[in-house]
Amino acid sequence: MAASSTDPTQQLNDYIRTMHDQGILDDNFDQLLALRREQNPRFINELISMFTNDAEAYIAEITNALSLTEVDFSTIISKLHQLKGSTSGIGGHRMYQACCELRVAADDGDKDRCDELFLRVKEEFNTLKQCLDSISQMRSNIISNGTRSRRRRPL
Amino acid sequence: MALTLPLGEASDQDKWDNGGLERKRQLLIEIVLRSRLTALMVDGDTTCWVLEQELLRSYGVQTLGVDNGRDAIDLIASDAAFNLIIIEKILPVLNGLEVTRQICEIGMRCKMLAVTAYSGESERQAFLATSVDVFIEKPLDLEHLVPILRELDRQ
Repeated sequence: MAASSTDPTQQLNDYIRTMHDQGILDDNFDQLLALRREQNPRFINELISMFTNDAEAYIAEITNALSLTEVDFSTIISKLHQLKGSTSGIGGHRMYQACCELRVAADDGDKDRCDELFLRVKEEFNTLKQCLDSISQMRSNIISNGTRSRRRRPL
Repeated sequence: MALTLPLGEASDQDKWDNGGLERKRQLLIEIVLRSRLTALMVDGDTTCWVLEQELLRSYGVQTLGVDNGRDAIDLIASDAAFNLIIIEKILPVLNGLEVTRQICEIGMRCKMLAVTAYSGESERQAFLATSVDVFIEKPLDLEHLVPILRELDRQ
């Protein structure tokens, strides 16, 4: 029996597909999905939360480093390296691309360009965060409602 | 009655990326390790550390993680043995390049993977010069990991 459009799982699948189509997520997010843990169905949600918290901290540190009279490019590069790494792990494609561009500007010591590109990093982070929050919420609803179906094959 | 979670089974709806998700799932069951392997992860970023740990644990690899270079060296120096060490470049206290050098000086023999948010060819060359076996741009992916685990399992 085909899943209807009101089926929460189908809705989640459709949403993730849309995020892929828009370039917000890439196949590294698929790797997370494949890692879905029977023992801990909330693993993906926990990882999303972890990423969001860490990314906000890195962004705060980069903000501070950029605001100094003597811009601390060393800290920017270091924190950006970590932000790139965690963003790639979560599958945040557009945000990752924005981080790469900012890295070039930081390597060049170009403050104006850094300011401009950091704005884009933050915009893409907000977009990615909204996307991941939506996915987390949908997953939480499905898990807490205990989506069960005698017609589905067991995991 | 089996609890099903989002994307709990492969379907046409899951294949938004030319079967990318299905390919990831296949890689997770492609090998069954006969040996009990151990791995040390050295990464200051929580998201990356947790993700790498989950990847390895999916294959039954016992994992231990540290978030700075000094703890990694202290662990190795205390005769802790690992089949695999995964190391990031930017670390608190001691950077990944220095940690790798010191591990080699201690004389520990194991497979070493540099898994880092890539920032250019010079980074790759710097790591390869320290005797890491493989350089992987983050995130650690199943396509790289499976052949490495298969090789370690055969040894």
